Amino acid sequence: MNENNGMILEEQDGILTLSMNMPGNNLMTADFFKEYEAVMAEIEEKAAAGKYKGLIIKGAGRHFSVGADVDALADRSANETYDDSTGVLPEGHIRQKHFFTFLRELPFPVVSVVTGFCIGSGSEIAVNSHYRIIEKNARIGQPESTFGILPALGGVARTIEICGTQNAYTLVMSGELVSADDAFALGWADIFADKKQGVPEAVSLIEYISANSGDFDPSRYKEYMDSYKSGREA
Amino acid sequence: MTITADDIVTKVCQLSSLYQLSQEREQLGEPCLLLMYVGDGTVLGSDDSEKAEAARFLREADFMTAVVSEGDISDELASAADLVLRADETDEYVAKLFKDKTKKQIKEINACFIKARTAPAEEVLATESRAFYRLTADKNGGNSNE
Repeated sequence: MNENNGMILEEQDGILTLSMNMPGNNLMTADFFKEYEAVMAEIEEKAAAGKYKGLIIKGAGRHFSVGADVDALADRSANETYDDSTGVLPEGHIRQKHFFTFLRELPFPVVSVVTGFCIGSGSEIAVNSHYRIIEKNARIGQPESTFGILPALGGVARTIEICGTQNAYTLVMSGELVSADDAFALGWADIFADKKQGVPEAVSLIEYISANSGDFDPSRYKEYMDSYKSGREA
Repeated sequence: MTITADDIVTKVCQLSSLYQLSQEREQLGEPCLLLMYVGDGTVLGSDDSEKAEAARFLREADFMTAVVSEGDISDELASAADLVLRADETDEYVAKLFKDKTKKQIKEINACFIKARTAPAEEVLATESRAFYRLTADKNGGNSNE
């Protein structure tokens, strides 16, 4: 469908699939963010104009994303103007954050298929999705606190929503990386999958929601997952 | 009730009621985390009025709160605090949380969790963004215009 310098957006049977294929295992450099924002703008336009069953986000290679280049992030942020007396955030940050957090408001389910490393801002793509399917051997985490900062693209707010206060506090404050098993146990991941089974599972989930839930209501995303899991266990 | 405090953590032991804390606020210092060691006889408050006041105090506290116990903790106590910890794991857990972090950084991260107690996600999202810029300014050797 569209190959946008490493952000590969395809459509099959009404399901969009974004395969992130940027250098360094999707290291989030300035180039990554430029391409990411462009493809997310395209997805936003498609969501407004057409009828899709869902969106799958994944790494094209072994890893989902190794996260941000902290030095580049600090340099970029240093060049942005923020006046704490007004609380008005830099325009660049507002735009960048929109293309993470808007995923939660899309009118179809957004499923991140997490493989390999899913760290920092990479993890923030996943936690802003409605659902996370994690494959065996993946490792996730928000290590920003170990660099003197914190996750600011939804990494705190969304982790609280999906994991609860205590588990989110442990992940965000400690900055430790955790295994796929632990991520599932903490509630970070909705579904644990064997290697190579994440995408088929995501398609199954999206098809289930499309067939059983009528128009997708983003505010009810947890209910749909509960229904899907109940159906699988029955 | 006995209180011991360092710059980051305040520990309160021999608590008969969490309501006591609301009456002794000035003794708690300015911690990032309040550890409330509770036992079998510890209650939220002795009547509905005290329970409501204790819950309000903990909900509005500008620090994170944890009930710590060697055994099971009642739902009433657990729901009043941010965290529920086992006594034999608490020291290690706290050390892991705050390792190599400044009090300012901990407080900025805490602010997001404190906001999330009562506010919608949109406000937590804004809180984390502002905290990020304040901490980044420090990291880059300057200050945001605080």
